[in-house]
Amino acid sequence: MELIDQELTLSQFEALPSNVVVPLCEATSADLRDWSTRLLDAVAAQDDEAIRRARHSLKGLCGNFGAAAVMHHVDSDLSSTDARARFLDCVEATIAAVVAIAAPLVPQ
Amino acid sequence: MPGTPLSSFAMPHEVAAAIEPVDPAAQIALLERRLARAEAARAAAEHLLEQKSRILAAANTELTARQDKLSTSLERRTRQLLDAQRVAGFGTMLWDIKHQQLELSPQVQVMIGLEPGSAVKTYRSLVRGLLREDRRRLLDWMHGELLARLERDHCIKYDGQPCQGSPGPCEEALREYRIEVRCPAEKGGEGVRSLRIMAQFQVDSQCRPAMIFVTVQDITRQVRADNEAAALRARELQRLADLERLNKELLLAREQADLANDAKSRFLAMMSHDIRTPLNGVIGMLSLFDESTLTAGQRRTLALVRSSGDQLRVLLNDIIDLARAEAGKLALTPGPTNLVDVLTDGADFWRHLADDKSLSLDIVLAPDTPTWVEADSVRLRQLIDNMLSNAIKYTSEGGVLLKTRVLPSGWLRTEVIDTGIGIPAHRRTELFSEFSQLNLLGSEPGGAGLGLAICQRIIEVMGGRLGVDDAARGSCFWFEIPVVRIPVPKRVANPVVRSLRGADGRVPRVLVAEDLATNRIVVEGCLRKLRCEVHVVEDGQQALDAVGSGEAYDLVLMDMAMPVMDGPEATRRIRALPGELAQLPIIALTAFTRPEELEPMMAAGANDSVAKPIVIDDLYRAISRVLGIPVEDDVAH
Repeated sequence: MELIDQELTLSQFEALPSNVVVPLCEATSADLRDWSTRLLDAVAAQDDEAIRRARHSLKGLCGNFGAAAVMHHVDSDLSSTDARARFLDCVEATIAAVVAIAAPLVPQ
Repeated sequence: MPGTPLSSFAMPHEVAAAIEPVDPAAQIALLERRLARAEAARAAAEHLLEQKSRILAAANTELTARQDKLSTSLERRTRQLLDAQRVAGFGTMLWDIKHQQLELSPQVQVMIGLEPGSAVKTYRSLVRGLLREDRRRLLDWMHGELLARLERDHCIKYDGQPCQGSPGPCEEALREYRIEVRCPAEKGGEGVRSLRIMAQFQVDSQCRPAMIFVTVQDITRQVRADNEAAALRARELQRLADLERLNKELLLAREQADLANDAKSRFLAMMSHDIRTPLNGVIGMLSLFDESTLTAGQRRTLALVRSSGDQLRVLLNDIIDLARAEAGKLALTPGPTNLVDVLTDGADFWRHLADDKSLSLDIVLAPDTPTWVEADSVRLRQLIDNMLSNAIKYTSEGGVLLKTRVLPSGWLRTEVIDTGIGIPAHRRTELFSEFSQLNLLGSEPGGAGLGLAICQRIIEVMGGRLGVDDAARGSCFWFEIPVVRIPVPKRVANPVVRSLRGADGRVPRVLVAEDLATNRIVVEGCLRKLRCEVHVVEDGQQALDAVGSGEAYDLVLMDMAMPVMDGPEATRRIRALPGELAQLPIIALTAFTRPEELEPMMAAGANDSVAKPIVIDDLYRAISRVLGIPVEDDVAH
């Protein structure tokens, strides 16, 4: 499964002013980490509403880049330690992939 | 006859004369006259006889002289003929078929190892003089060809009709039979003499074979020469075969080398591609560092890491390009290109590097330089970048000039002239080879030496030319490419030219309510690209406050799921505001796509919706719909 849809991600960045590329990378990495943590916390607390909310936000974020792997994890059972670790690894890898796509567009 | 009267034996006047009386004197006179005439006749005859004898004697003398002369001539000619035969290495034989006589010239006898003058009665004697293995062959030939011919009592024309003794020699008579045989060169010796025997029938007046005239030619030298030539030819053929085999082996080796090279290129390209992706991540991550929190030393380290990363990225891009070129996959993507923009952007891009080295960087475009051309702008820019970066890299003082002009042929010539160290003429061809670095500065200022090689490949694909000349100081790198001028495109395939303006020409003022920073940036970026004024808030409550604050918004983009106050609630409350504020157009931003999922927003009073992820064209159309701005349908995106 692809981490992200590279063409979609590139088109997202290219459609925006070049000075937005870095802030968008920063925001993406911050949002993904933040909502991943919230999801895991909600799962740990068995707070269904918080889980629904976190899942929704993460899917919204992932939609921007076609981050299929994270979406898959979001809908999976994240109660085990192993699943949580894999999920966080996937999130970090997705962030790296998004930044890799965006990096050439960063003004020199 | 006894008893028969005399008158019955004589004519009447004789009888009359006989019975007349005879005058003796007259008889005597008559007899004397007769005697005198006879004497005269005898004398004349003797005279004639004497004359004839003299004539005959003279003739005989003459004939004898002639005969002697002819004999001498014949002997001389025979001698000459024999000499000629000896010198020419051929002899003759004449076989009288009727009398079964065989006549050999001395040269033939010499050729077959007989003593000159030896008596040879039949052709079988000749056969014995040949090599054993050729005897049977000659006999077969004679029986099969010559003697079979003799069995026919007249010759047969080639058309199958009997020859009825035509006045000239018939075709059959002219036919020549030939065979080549061998005999010992000398008795008891190992040498071999090769003979060519050519036989031709001589026919009589009825066109019947009368004689066989045979020439025997010593072709030992010719055969030897032929054998040597054949051997030489065989050696040549062998050599050719060897060369061909070698060539095949070389081709195979070349093929294998090409395959290996292709595999290497593919591997290199694949690895470079795979390395480039995480490298981009590393470089991207570096850009996220907040330098203000770093110490001076850390900033220097960071700058070094960035610089190394950039170099590595350039190298990887070059390797991928080169591999693509080697695989023949370096293709152009022509499209409407603003040539002036490409050139000036290229110069602007490298200006900071020139500034760092205190170099001037000027650009001079000839007035007839076309603005819009059909070209691959990316590859064109790659050429400009490469030449400018090289020029700046190898110039320590002075400056760099980028100039263009249109050639009489209509091609575009672009020159990058520097005041750098220059390039010796004898080393210029090295410039365009892969991984070529001339080391003119003592040490290379960076790079893998791929740039110009790639430029060369790009120019080849473009069908142009690339070169380097001397400049007044330094070098002049140039390329010439065919360009196709095109009219100014009506709309450029770039969303940046689109803008949303109402009938009054004013740009829309848009309020965005979105809790996720990522989405806020995307939406804000899209709106700014559409030339909108943007105000961003993070939840429904802030949106409600902003609308109620008196700020004049033309539109609200409202996310559905937000903390504090969600989109539907904020929408409901805006619709409940007094006056025109309640009519404020609201577009729902949502990742929900099913109608039932959108229902809360639409029920709360949203005018339209845009699905996430946001696509600028979708946003443009939704805003146009809601604000009643005509849509530019043919805008490319």
